[in-house]
Amino acid sequence: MKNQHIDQFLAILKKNKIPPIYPFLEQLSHKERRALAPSIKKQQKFYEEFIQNGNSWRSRGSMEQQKIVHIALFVCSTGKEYERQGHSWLEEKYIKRIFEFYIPDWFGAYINSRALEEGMAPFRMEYDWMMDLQSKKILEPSGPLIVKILPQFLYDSKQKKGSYHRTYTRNDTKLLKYPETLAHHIWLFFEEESTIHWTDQYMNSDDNTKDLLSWKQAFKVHCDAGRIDRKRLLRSTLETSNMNFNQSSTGWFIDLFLLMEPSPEELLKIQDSLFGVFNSPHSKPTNTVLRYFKKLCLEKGFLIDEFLASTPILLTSEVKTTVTSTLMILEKLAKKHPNKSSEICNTVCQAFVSNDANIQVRAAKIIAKYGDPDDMPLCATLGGYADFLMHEPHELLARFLAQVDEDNQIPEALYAEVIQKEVLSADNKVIYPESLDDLMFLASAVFDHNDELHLDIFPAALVQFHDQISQEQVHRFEPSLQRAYKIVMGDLRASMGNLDHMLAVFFIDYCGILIKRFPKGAQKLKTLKDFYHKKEKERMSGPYNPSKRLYPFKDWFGPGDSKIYKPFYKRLLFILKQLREQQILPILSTPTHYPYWIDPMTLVQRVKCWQEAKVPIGHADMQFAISRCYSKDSELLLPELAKQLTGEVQRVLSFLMSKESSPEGPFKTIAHWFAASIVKNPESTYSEFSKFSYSSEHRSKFTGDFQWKVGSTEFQNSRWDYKKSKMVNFTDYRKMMKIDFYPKSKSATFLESVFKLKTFPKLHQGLMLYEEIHFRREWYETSASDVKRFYGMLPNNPEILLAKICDKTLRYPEIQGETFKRMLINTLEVLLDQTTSFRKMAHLLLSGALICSDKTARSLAAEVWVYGETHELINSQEIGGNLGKHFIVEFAPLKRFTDLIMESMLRVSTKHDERLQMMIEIALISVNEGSVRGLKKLLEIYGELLRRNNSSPLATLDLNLELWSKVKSLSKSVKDINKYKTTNPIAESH
Amino acid sequence: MSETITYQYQSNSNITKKKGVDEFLLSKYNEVQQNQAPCFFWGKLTDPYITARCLITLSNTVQSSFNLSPFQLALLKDPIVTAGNEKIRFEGFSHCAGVYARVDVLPDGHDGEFLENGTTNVDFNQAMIGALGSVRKNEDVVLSVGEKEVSLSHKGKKVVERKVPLPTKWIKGLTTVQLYLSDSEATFEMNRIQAVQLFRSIPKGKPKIDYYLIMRGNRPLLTPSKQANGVCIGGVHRLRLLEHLVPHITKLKVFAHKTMQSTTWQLYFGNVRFSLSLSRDSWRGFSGEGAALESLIEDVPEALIKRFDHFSYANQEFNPTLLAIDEGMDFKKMDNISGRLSAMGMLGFDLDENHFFYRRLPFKLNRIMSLNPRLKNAEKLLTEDKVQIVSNSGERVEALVAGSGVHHSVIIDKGKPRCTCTWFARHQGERGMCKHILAVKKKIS
Repeated sequence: MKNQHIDQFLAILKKNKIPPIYPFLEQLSHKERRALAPSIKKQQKFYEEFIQNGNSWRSRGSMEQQKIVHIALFVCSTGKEYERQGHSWLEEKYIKRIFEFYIPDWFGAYINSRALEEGMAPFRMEYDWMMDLQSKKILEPSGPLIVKILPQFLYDSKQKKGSYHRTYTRNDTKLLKYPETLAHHIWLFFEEESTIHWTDQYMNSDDNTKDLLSWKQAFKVHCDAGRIDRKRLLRSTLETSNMNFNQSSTGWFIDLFLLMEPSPEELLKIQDSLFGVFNSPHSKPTNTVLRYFKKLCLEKGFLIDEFLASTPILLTSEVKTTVTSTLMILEKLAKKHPNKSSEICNTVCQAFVSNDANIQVRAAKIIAKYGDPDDMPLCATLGGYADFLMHEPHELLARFLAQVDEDNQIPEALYAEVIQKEVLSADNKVIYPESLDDLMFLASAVFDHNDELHLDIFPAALVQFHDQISQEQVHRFEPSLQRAYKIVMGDLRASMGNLDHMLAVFFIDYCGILIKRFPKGAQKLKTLKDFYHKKEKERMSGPYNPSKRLYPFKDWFGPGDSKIYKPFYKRLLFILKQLREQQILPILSTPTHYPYWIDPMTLVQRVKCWQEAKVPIGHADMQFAISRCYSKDSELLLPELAKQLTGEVQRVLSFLMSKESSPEGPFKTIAHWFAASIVKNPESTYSEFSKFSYSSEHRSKFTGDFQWKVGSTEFQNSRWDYKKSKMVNFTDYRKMMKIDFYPKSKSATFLESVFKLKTFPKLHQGLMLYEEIHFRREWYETSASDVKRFYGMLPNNPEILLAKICDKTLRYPEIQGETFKRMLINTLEVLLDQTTSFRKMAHLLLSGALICSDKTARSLAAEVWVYGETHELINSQEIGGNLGKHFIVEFAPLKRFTDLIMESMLRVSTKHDERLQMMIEIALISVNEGSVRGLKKLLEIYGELLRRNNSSPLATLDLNLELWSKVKSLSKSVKDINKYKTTNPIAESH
Repeated sequence: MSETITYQYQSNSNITKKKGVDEFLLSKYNEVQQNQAPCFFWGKLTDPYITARCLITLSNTVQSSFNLSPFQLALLKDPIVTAGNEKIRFEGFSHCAGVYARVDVLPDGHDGEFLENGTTNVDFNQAMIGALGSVRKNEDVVLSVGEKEVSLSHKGKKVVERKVPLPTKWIKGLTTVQLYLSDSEATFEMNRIQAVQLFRSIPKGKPKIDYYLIMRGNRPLLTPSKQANGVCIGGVHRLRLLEHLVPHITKLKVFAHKTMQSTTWQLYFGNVRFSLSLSRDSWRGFSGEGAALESLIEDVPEALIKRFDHFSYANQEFNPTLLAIDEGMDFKKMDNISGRLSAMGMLGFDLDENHFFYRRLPFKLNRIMSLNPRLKNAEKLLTEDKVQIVSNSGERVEALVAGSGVHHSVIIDKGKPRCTCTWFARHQGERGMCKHILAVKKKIS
């Protein structure tokens, strides 16, 4: 019996005709239909499968066959089964035909649930069909279903013969076809989010009256005819603003409200709904209601108390129009209701949290006009905002503020004193593993880049505990070795850099040493090694000639030709050699204090160990150590140094640690000497080094004292020429900040060069740290995650590195991509730990970051500025000069900078305000060629700072101020600044 | 256990005007105590304007999602209400389970009677939320949690039914967040002006990096630079949920978790409080954190839990010490009991009063208990005999646990556990113990 039905079903499918399926299904009992269901599903899979047909892909079954399967599924499945198969593609005619003999009991629930979860109505259901099903009690349509179907119902469409073009007309009478439509269904649009606001967007009308296609017109027509309750419509329209609809949908309903042109009387009656609009997450409804209130507020029935209760949300809004409109209404109310003036003025105070000068002035004028200076509660409220007040509102409210007890004002006495940061303190001491257990757990965590110093601590700990690892303990490295293998095989996380990869390859090599050393105990490590080597072999035998992932550490290659990884690589290579040869001597360059410092005394002791063991120290290791040595105040250690160490290394360290001493030859490790000279003082040159090859290079190559300029540069661009129908090249201009990395030194003639070479053969030594600071400019880089560790290589003089980062990240007004953004952010974070004074490139980087295109980087830059000024590490005037050069060519919108000042740099402390004033002054002096966009706000801030600092404008600014006073938009700001022109000691001093 | 939960309400929640008074009916449903108590609370709200705004914000929180697709947003979960002990508390979670919000209507925040006490789901439909927006300051609003008088037309018939997938994350988050709250301390307090200023400075967009809340003088500031005294906030844009409430507050307190795994922003409006707790990051829900796991290792006598559940009433203060004395139990054992009960959905935490309170989540207990996959995985390790205790001297336990392809070392030294697995390596125990440590702890306990 069962097989017979299956055969019949298959025969129908084979015939490829739809009609025979209906009588076949009709004659089956419920049980038989259920029995057939699995076979139908099998056929569905078969006929719907995509197969290749020549160059194209299509379903295996014809359209008819697929329909047959779906009809059978509809009849034989349970509701859950039908929902699980996912489709609802049967059209109305098929369903209607099925309903002649079978109506599934799950149909109604299925339709409603699909309507809720999917964007479209199932079975392409239309409104007429839905109503028909409702009348037959087959379907009880839910709200989401109705609002999905109803929007299309309003329109008639026609298609011209032979054309795909379809035109639409609005047919309002259709809404009268069913009484439920106007009585119930249209109101659902106000409760459920729908597509009503863009239903007409892509419709074409016959007579170019597209505006009339909108549903808004239909609402108006039926409302005017009295078929829709006008009051309910107005209220419901307003309530949509709090229904969590999207912005355009909310805007559409507000437009509908405007179209209804409510009269003042009507508005007064629905005031509660109008007040409710102020809670909307969108600004359009709020601003529309405020526009009505501007006219309505003087009417008799206007609910003043309710309005005043709503003002906190309005006056603290970030939308300027909202605040301005609210203030206008409050002013009108204060004028009309003198008895409420005190309450209104108290309310108005809330507007002072705004940074906008116009808003503050407007609010101040209301209080000055309607407030009473003897009104103590008002003065107290105002006192709370005194710190926010700009100079003009401050002047306007001087009488009120005079009453304020100073205790009520927000005090600002932060960072008044210079805070000296202790570099080598117990608080920032690096913690090393103390036991083998610690080392094991460090090994498993080390590749996740949890701590920048893991790259240093881990190899040092391996050396320290190398002797203690035993046959019984060695297997505990198994999880960390697995992690290292996973990383080199491609499991890199976004926060990892090339240095993490380098460390993983290093560790795999180290485990190789352990496997040799403990053939029995390290069996698990060996198994892991074999497993991954087998995997690699399989991968390499693939068809795409993949690059090698497993290789010995000595073959490690970083990203392309970026030389900066070389010192790290050389150092780890040396450590690996040390471990292989069982030389248990301390690594010289491991930092002793965060972020990257080495205590000079510890360094001396470490070197002593090497000298006692009579083993030559590592070339890269020693340079790292020199570069990280915190040599300030280390002169006291010189006698101890002389006692503990001997030979050239003692002379190098003496030279590094003493302030005045000159280098003493003979010079064998010239790279160490030269690196020490740069760490000691980049500005000094030593005649003793004249034979070094480094001395013939331009000094800035090692010190980072590069020249830079900012301006427009020419470049070749191309665009599509519509007339010529091809791409054409043209000369274009772009703004650019360019650092001159390769300054031209005086060139010698060929003969001179030969003669010099012969007489003074230059001394050179491979790998001098400051020669290796180079990384390639690429659009996609992993070096962003390594930036902090690059910085850690040269914490005493990171200038070259900072110059390279400036060039990569701040060359153009917009940061070029996420990688560079991350690189800049990481650099700024590391600058927040800097303990030495900022030099030229650090100032350039900070200046560029203050106006860069990324908000996070700007905020961080402001923090660096606050930090730098607190600890007296930066020169705000130099930053001002750099900024001025950027401003004059309008490198970036000035608004980025002025917004940043208002958010993070103003009012930090008196000292910071003074330094900020200096910075702005110097920047303004540079802007000596007329006005730049956004200058007005900067002048306003400058005026504000003059008031706060009780200062007067710099005399050297006079010419510029005169120039700007003739510019209409700036004249008022200049006038305000000129008010502070009095004899002023601060101005004289700088 | 069904994979869906079906809310069945007698009617839609709504606000209707009757004789000049707004009647605010919250329709309720509890899958545990169906129809046992038709109405929990009936009475006037003292500050309807603020309460209404708090409930709108709660609704916005429940409807928000900070890491899921819009499709999943459609599957709205209803908030829950706990009424009793003179307090009404509304709780809800964002869809991503990373933001927890609670409205506490304190004893002076209402004038009414608690006809029953208990916890229930309440229908939060959009029409009702829209109507809440037009509640005015000096209006009379009567709140009814459940229908006081079941109308004839509704009697015995579920008129509103909403099926949603079982909100696993939601329920798990509700249980976990309480432990985070209990481990948080008040760090900053701000007045209205400071709070408004702070909220205006929330960075635009959806910043991916952490921000730190600091006080510079009297000025609160959000900065991306790591600060020693700062409160770390991941996914800071989630605070925008509070934007519309902040202008109305009297004060704001920020509570920070001791290891910065969450922050709670408590807004004060006199007799009403609103708390918003943020998870460590916008892509991390409270549900995925393992704060409750350790408490679940040791079994608590079933009889004690049953007794506690039976005799406690909603919002009653939970005092583990008193319970220990009453039950004659070891104090050490009681240390875990609050964690255990909280993980079972029986306790909430009140930050202001610094104590747990009883509230029984309106979900079947076996639903709640089946929600800790890490614990289940740990139990699986034990069942498969993959845990080998190498040494156990009481103070120091060393074990080897078979992982995927390797053996992990677990050492518990003076109560401080460590593991060599990637989870522990990455989070160092900040997101709860890994399954290996849990398995070892369970084995030695």
